[in-house]
Amino acid sequence: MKAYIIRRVLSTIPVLLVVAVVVFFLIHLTPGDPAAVILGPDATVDEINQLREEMGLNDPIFVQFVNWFGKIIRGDLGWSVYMKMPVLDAFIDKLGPTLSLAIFAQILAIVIAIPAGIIAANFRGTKKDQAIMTFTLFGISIPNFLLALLLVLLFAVQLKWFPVAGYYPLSSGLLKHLEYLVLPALALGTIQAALIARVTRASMLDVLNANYIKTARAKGLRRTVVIWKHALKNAFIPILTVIGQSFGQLIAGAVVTETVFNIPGIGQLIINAIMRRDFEVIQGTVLLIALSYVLINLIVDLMYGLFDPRVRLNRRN
Amino acid sequence: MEAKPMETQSINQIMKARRKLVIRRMLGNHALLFGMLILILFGVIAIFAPLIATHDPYAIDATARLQPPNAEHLFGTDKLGRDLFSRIVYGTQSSMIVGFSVALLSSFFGLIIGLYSAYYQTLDHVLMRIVDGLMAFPAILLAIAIMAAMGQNIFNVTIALSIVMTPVVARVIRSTALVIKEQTYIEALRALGAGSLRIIWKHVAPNTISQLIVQFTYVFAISIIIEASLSFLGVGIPAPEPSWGNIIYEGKEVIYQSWWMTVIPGAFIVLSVLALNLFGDGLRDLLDPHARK
Repeated sequence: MKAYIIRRVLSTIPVLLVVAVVVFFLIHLTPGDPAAVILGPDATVDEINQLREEMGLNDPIFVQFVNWFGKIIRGDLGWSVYMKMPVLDAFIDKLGPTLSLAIFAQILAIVIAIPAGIIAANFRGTKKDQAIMTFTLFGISIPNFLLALLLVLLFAVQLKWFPVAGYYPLSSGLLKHLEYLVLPALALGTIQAALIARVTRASMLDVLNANYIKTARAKGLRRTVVIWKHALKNAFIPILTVIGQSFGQLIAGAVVTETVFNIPGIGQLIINAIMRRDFEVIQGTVLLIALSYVLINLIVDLMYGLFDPRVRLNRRN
Repeated sequence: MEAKPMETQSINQIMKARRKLVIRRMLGNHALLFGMLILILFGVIAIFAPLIATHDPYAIDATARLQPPNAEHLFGTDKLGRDLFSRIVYGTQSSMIVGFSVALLSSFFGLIIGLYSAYYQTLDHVLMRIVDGLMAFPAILLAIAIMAAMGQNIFNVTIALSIVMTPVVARVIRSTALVIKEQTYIEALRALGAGSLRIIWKHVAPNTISQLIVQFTYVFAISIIIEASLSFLGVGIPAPEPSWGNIIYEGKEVIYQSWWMTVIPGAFIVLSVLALNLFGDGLRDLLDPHARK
C-alpha cells in the first residue's frame, strides 16, 4: 500500500509541472506585448517599459518561468490590477457561491442518476430503459447555460415558482440560500446526472453478468437484495471515477451557469477579469482549478487503492 | 497475379457481401439514420446559408424590433430589428465550420500523438504526461483562458478548441493502438523486417480508423457546445457576427418578452448536438459490434 501511495503521489508531479507550464504560457499567447495589453492603448512607452521591468518580461523566458514558479510555490498567485488585491484572496472570496452550487448540483445529480442508472440496467431493453436513456441523451446534448435559461423561462418567468436570478449566502438562512440555488443546481445537476446515469447503467450491466451475481440469485436471494447489496457495491468503482473526474467539469459548468443567474462566484471573477484584461486573475484562477482537479483525482485514486487491492498491484494505469 | 483469378473473385464476393451487410445494418439502425439525416440538413443550411437566408443578417431595422415569429420574419427579430432566421442560418454556418474544423484538426493531431506514443515507450511517457496535464483543465475553462489571451475571432475559437480536444482523441487512439500493437500479425511483420514507419501507418493506423471516426463525431458535438458557451459568455465569436451562442446571449436581457431569441437558437444547438451523438453512437455500434453491450 505504501509503495502504491508513493508511486501515485510521485506520478502527479509531472502533471502538475505541465499544468504550470501551460498556465505560464497562457499570458505569452497574447499577441504583442503583455505589458502594453495590460496598460491599454493610452499607455506611454516609458510606462510600458517600467511595467515590463516590474513583470520581469525583459528576462530570458526560462528565468521568467522559474521566478514565476517560485512565487506560485510560496502561494503568491499574482496581483489583480483591477481589484487591487492578491489573486488568491479574490479567488477565496468568490469560492463560496461556486462550491455551494457545485455541491448542491452534485448531490442532486447523484440522487437522480444512480437509481436511474440501476433501473435502466435492471430493465434493460424495456420502455423504462429507453425512456431513461433518451433522457440522458438529451442531458449530454444540451449546454448548461441553455438548460439554465430554459428553466428560468419555465419556472421563473412563466410559473414564478423560483426567483429569476440572484444569490443569498448561507448566512442569510438555509432556506433562502437554497431557494435561489434550486434552478442553477437543477441546470448543472441534470447534465451531470445524465453522465453519471450512463456510467451507472453500463457498470451495472457489466456486474450483473458476473458469476457471483448468478450464484447469489441461484442460492435464492431476492433480486432487490442482489442488486442493491451485491451488484451496486461492485459497480461502484467506475461510478466513483466518473464522479471524481467530473469535478472539473462541474466547476467549469458552475462558472457558466453562474453567469446566467448572476451568482457572484468564480465565473463572475473570470468573466470580469476578461473584460478588464486582468490577466493574472485568469491565470491564477485557471491554475487553482486545474490544481484542485489533480488533487481530487489523486485522492479518488488513493481511495481505490484502499478499497480494492487489485488497483494497488496493477502497475500501469 | 494471373494465376489467382478464382481467389480474387471470391474475395470480391466476400467484400461485396460484407458491404451489403453493413448497408443493411445501417438502414436498420434508426438512431444512426435519424442523426445522419439531421446532419445532412445542417450541412446544407451551412453551405447554402447565403441562399437560404431571407434577409441580410446584419441589417438593422428600428421599426421591426423584437417581433415574435411572423410571416415576414420566420423566427422573429432581435433588439435591433435584425432578422433572426437569417442570423440563425449564418450562425449554423459558423457552428458547423468551427465544429468540423476542430474535429478535423484534433483528429489529425490526436491520431499522430496517439499512434506514436503507443508505439514508442519513452515518447509515451513524455506525451502522456503532457496529455494528462492538458486534461487537468476543464475544457471550457482552458478554452476561455486561451481566448482571453489570443483575442476573440472564429479562427482563434477553432485553435483554442483544437488544443483542448486533441488530448482527448490522442488518449483514445493510444489505447486502441496499444491493443493492436500486441497482436500476432504485428509481431510477424516485425519479424519479417518491416520498418516502424510502415507498421505504424500501414498496419496499426487503419485499425484505429473506426475509433477515430467515432471520436470525430463526439469532438464535433462537444465543440458545438463549447463554442456556443464561449459565444454566450462573450469570449467566442464576437458580437455583430451571428452565432447561436451570442444570439442567446443577446436574448438573455429580453428573456421576459422575447422567448424566441432563446428557444429557437437553443433548439438548433440541441438538435445538432443530438444528431451528432446519435450518429456517433450508431457508428460505434456499426463499426465495433463488441461495444454493443
